[in-house]
Amino acid sequence: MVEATLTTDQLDIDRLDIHGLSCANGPLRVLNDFQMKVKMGETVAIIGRSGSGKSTLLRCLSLLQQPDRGNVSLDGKNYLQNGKALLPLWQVRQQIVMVFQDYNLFPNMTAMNNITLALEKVRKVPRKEAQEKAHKMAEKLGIGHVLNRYPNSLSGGQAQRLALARAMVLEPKVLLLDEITSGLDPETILNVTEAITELRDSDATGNLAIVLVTHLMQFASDFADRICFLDGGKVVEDLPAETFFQECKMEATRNFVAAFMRPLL
Amino acid sequence: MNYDWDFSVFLPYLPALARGALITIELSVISSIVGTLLGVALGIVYRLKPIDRVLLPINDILRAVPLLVLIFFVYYFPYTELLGVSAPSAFACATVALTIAQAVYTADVVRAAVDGVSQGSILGARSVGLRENEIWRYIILPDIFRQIAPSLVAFYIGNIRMSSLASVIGCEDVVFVARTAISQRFRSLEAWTIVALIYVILVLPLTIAARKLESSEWLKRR
Repeated sequence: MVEATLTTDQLDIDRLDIHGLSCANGPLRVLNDFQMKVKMGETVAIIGRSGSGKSTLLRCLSLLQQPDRGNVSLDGKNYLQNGKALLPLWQVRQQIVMVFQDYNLFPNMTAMNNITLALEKVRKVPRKEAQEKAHKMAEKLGIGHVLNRYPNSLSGGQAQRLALARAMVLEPKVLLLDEITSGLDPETILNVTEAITELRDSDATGNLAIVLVTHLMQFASDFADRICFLDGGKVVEDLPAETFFQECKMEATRNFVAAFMRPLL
Repeated sequence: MNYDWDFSVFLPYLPALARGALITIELSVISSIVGTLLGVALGIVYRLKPIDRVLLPINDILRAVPLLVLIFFVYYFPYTELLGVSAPSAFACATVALTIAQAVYTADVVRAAVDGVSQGSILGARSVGLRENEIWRYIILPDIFRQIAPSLVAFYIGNIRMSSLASVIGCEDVVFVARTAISQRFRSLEAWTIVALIYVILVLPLTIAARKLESSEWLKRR
């Protein structure tokens, strides 16, 4: 195993420090010298047009996609340097866990086994203990009664909560949420956003950092501490969530925000 | 017009027919199990580039060869001259030929099934830190088995029926016993009716299982 290098040049260590991250999907450069810092306990919402690199950013952070260049550190330790992973991928992904729009559950396993699989196989937590943790997490997310069911019998809201439980049971340092409310009806969206808010607020360490990609402006402004607008593979506007919509100055951001405010017809 | 059915002449042959049926079962079960395991492994290997360029055509050729020819090929192979070992028994030759047939058919469906594995669940597995070997064991292989299960059962049914070809090289299966009995009692229709009944008894449970599998919840969990 390659030992991660320390780059602690500051006392107040950022949970995530992304520096010069670049990534191309074929000939298209999706992330271009991307910079961003996320503090411990902070929630950052990433907004932007479709294809602006939001999901690619999350995949690169969890090393589900190989970036071309850039450094990323977690708690001051680089795990990505010049686009190369310094730690085994599985180790990074147990600390920076991603939840997807399409849930991406394990269809051949019960909800319980969906939650416990990584705990048991990667963390080597004994089965009984893993099940207890899964039970607690599922109860917290309001899906304790579906643990014996299979994903194909769950509603969209239950499936997304299960995906959240599967991620959160690992007690990650960073939670990446990729449009987790897309494709859900308004009531279920409320259901899922309430669940994730409660989950964050009940985090014992208070250090969980969340980076979320969303097209729900209300969710971004209510849930996040900061909102970043992504354009051309870079953050072009980064403001506190409560003032973002009033204070954004860049033309691209204003046009994007205005499109959400404007009536469709 | 009347045919005088007489099954009684075959009563003395019942123990031999039972032993023949047992050999048919042994042939089918061994070749189905070993052929499936081998086929799954081969199907996965066929996905690897560039070996697929060499192995896939070999698989295609083996699938094109009729089982009867394959049985003759394995039986008449010059073991002593080329390998320096004594020739295996007819039973062993038939088992090997049936295993090869099962393996190449299984390999082909597995190869296609690997492409059909849900990419979402693989991504989900990676996102929580599962390693590639764990993803294969807990996500990809169970998905592959669900995809190929109906084809596998069809292959197993085919394997039982095709095992009747083993009699041509002297393997003492149920067909071999029937042919011997016919040559001594000259009543073909009765003998083949008994043989057909034995095959129906062997195949029917699998046919019922296949039908149950088609509508099972287990199959839908992918």
